[in-house]
Amino acid sequence: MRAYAHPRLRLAPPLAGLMLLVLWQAADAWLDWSKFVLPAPLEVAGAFRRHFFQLMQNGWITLTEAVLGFLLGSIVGIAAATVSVLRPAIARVIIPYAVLIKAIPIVVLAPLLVMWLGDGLISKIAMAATAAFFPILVSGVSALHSVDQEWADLLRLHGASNWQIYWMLRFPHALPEIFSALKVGTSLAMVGAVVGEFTGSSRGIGHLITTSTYYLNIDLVFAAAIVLGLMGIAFYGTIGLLERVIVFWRRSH
Amino acid sequence: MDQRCRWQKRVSAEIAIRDLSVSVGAGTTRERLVLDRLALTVRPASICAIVGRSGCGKTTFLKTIAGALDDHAASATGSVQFRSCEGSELSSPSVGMVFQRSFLLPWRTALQNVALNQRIQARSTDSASHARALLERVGLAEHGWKYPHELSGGMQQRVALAREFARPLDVLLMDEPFRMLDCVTHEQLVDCLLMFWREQQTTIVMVTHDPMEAVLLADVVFVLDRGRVAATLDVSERLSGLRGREARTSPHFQELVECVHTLIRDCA
Repeated sequence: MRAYAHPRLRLAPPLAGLMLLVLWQAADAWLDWSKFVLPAPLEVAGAFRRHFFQLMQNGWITLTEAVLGFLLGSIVGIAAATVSVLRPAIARVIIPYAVLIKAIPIVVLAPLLVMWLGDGLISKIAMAATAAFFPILVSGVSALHSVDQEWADLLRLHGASNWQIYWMLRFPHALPEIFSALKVGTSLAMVGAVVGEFTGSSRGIGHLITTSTYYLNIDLVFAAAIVLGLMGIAFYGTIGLLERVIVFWRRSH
Repeated sequence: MDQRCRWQKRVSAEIAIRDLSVSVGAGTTRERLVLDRLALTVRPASICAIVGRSGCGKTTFLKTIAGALDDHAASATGSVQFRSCEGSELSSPSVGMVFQRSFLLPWRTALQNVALNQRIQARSTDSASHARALLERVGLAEHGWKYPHELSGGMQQRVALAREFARPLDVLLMDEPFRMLDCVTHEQLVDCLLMFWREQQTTIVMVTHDPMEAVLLADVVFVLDRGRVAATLDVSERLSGLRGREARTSPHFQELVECVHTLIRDCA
């Protein structure tokens, strides 16, 4: 945060944003673009006001899918990473296949998941979970393994079992890295949920965007995108806040 | 039961090492013999220093005694025995370790770090008061609630010492524990170590490449070269058992440091 050290500089980013909006609005008035291509900020604001309830309702659904999927993906991811540390033999069998599945773009999985799990909440949760799972697994495995050998030796000399070394040393030691992956996971879970809604759904922001595009309600598409962005920031920020509380010893480093 | 009574009744351990060979990278083209039929005996309740140049096998030696060699990466032959004074073998000696880094758990307070052993052994009874007493003895009574990152490097090392001596310790292994400390901190730590050592009669093996540190603490200095003992120097005899800050006052101190220095240099 050194760049914003001066109080006057702290105002620079919001001012720049505001200027951009004013320019955009002015350009719209001068150049008279079609509002079907690029709606002006005031039109987007109007759409936001007119469709507020609809946006909130669909936003809530998407957020629920993303959060539940994220929780599922991260719990399974951390559990799988734990197994890989405590039982390396199992990890050697599973990890290559996990990487193979990861190599398939998530978009391809969407139609399959919708077909298998229906066009309701479950398929979107599965999409979000799949998207969030891999970075958490991969970071979890590397972070849980990255403890200094001396440190583990020291605990073993105190009589610690593998499980105790995991629980007292490896897991807390891995938390900073796991939290970084969790933060990435929040964005991926949002993407997963929306892509799932694009593919087949009757609710959610993704569905709202698809139908609005169809009816050329571009201002509503913009408003929906803004809602998605704000939800993403809130989601990311919540995990960031949790990180600051839980990984307290890292703040002063 | 009073902990100190229990410690005093304990017998000190002798470490007998016979024909110890360790090679790393076994089965690969880069296999290298780190310890070569090493043989030495560390007397019970004595402090021995292992000195030598970088790569002479000091750290591998410590790891082998600690039983912490990675079986996949290294193979060892020969024997490491812990024996009581009467000659009977100790089946499971308690071995502690202190490194250059304190390796305190950063998410636990100093007090909780000292109580680590009780926590692992699930002995919760009066572990807090025991840990508090130990912290007081290393002069950190009022820092018990601080986290490691709130303590200086020297304080962290004192907590690490207290953590190791929180259990009755037969053997303490030290890998350059006092490196990178200023002279006052260094002296404090040496005092703490000697206090615990006198009380528990622990057998200490210390690896260092600082000749002065070796002379300051050790009874016997072993100079290691290419995995073998190149020279042995009985320091306690020359210093008549003086140690720590008392050792510095001896007229033979500088001469012994010079001697160890020469022995290490001659290895090359």
